[in-house]
Amino acid sequence: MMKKLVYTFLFLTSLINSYGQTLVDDLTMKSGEVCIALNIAEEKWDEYWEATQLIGNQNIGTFTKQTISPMIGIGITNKINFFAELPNISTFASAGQIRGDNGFQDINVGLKYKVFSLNKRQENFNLFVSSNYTLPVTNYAADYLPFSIGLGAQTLTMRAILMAGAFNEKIFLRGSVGYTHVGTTEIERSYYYADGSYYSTIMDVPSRYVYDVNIGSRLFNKSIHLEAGLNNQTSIGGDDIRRHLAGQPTNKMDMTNLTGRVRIFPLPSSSIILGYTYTFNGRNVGKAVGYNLTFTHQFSTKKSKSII
Amino acid sequence: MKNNLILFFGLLFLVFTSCEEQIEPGVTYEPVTFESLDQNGGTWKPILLTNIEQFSFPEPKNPSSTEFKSEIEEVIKNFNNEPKAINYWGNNPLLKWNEIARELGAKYNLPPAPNDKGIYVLPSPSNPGSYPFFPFAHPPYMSRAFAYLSIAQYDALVVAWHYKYKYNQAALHKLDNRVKTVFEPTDLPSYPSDGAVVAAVSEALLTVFFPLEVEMIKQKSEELKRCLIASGINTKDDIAAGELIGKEVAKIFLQRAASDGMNRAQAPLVVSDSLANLAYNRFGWQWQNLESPKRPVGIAPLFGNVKPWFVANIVSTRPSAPPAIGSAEFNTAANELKNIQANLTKDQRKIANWWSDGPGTYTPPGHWNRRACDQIVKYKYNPLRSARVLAYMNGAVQDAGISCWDTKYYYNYPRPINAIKNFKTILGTPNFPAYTSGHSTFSSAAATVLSSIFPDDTKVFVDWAEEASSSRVYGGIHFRFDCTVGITQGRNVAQHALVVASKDGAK
Repeated sequence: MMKKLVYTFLFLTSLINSYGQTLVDDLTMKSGEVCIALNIAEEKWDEYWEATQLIGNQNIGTFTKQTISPMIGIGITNKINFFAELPNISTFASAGQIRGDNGFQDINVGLKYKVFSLNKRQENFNLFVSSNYTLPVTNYAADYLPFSIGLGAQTLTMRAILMAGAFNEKIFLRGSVGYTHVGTTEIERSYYYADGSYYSTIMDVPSRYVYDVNIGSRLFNKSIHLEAGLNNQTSIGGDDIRRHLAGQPTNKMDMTNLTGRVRIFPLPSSSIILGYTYTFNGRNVGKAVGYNLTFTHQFSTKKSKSII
Repeated sequence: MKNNLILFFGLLFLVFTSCEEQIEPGVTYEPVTFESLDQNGGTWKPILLTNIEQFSFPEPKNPSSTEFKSEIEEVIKNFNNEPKAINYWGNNPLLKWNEIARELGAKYNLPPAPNDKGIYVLPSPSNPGSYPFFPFAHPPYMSRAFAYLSIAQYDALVVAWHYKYKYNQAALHKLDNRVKTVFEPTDLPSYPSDGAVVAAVSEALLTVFFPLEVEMIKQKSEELKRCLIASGINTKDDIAAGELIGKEVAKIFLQRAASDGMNRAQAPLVVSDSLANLAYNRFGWQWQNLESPKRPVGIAPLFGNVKPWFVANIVSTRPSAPPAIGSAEFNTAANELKNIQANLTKDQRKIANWWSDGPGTYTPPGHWNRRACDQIVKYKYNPLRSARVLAYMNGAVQDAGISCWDTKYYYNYPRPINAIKNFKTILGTPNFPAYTSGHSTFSSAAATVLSSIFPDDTKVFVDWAEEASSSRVYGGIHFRFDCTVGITQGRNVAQHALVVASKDGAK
């Protein structure tokens, strides 16, 4: 069994990113349970915030980012879950002469720990803390914005997640607050300007605060979940994209998104998630609209009867 | 369990965050003990000045006079009172002025954006503060800024050295043993202050090249002059004399700058179009900008007409015509580019990015300026000899730029994205014709001058120039022949500087 798990893990780590976050928050696994997932996502923008100014750029046209990302979640104990994800990303523009990029980005591994749980017949309340760590797995060009597939920096995120349901989860709320410490990234030049001169091949990527709030409903005997949310990322420090220049990893990248998700369970153990993301406010990021499609399958490695 | 887990996360976090190095802005030049003081430096031949005794100039005060003594008291009283600033300027402040110039270059190297109607408005020196700001510090602009700064610093320091050894006023610590020095004391005569010469000449030139930075530049200049006193090197009188030289020399350079043809370099559309038409009639091709909205005029079409420092006839340095579009030689070069972009290695990508020095950076002339400053520190050159390195290198680099721009707009040769269908690149294609490569020409000229001054490091410089040159092929924005011919062109242009340097009396 262990061998099978390792293989599954290895396969799946060939796919994680922000879409994984929502899924990770949603999933809870008992000891011995495993969830495998595959996420396919596309986001597009034709305007971006240069500092706080929303502009278009005819030399980019419409910018597209596609992600395919396998993920695994494992119930280590009833209270501790492990997650891993590795996205493969492609970027390209509809206009201009600059090439896009593609490849595996950062492996993301995390643990989620159930700190507090209160479950009554109709109401429940759960508090988790989670931590996840990301590490670039390929030598992609981080200083190639907006086409870079990632920022090339290690990150460590600490979050607290709160889930509450009422009326047998016909209404539920989920929210989280967190802090992502972002490390430095190595770039392929020895000088850069970021409100001053830096004679270095290392860029400091701003750390950030993140929060989200979601409201949802589980209907038809919990076979359909509907959810809407608001996400925010606010960088601590960082410079702005300068007028008519490309961005760089030192930039302060802030955004606020609206999200919507429908999750259906054709089988009790399998689900399909359709998601939508709309970045309606930001700084040094694209005004992106994104769609994602996720398949999940959950099974137990123990001979127990109950699943989910 | 819970506590262990929290401890685990806490430790992980601590380890992760503490491993990071702090990235500090700026560059630190450690103070050095000068390998020589070049006592005969006052006899060296300046580059632009024809008569180094043309300025009327007071004699130094008598060291036994009360006036002089009160100035010495001031030096003693202010000793090391601004350690941070003193450390910043070090004992060869010319290096810091070059660093300031590079940073201003990076700050102002912003290609103008189109306005709401899709029209590009040009920066205007008469209204520098309205967008697009003046200057747009593109590579030709910066090559000229560095050349003026360095050659003026050099000529002014030759004047300073001349008077230093003419009056031979001893260093302050020799005149009064209570005077302490922050840096290794030298026997360099203190009057006039070479540091103040550099401050005044740099201030005067940089404020003209970067008019929106007048306040910052003035502050830097004032700070340096205070530091020269506080580090035990100069009295107020030394500084006043140095300032006088710096200002007078700067005037002569600014006169040249006002009439060197730069104000006509950014030619209007009619001129730019006629250059393209001429090339089309002569050769059957012409370059055009592919940005959208299209930039109607390339960068500095008439920079090739700007007055060079060392080359008498710039057209004589113009290489022969590039291969015709569609010829066998052209096809070979185009296929090389397609192959490289299809199979780009990480090494090629890194080289393309390493030497890119594109918009928002200090440009290729800035890159070489930085490397030259590193050499100066490595070889412990005194300010005068440092200035000479930069004067000949930056002068040759500007001449190479002038020669290259003359070639670019004479041949008006298309870029790979113009000539190869559906060709995509990892670097943005610059807004001027391809042939010859500016990076190759600038770099080769810089490497040639540096190799002549620091022969032991020739291989390093030549390798850098070759790499900078090839980087444009890897980036997909130049044909191989743009680059190889540019390397030869830069080397040839730099010979003109070396001929002058060989006869200036410095060894």
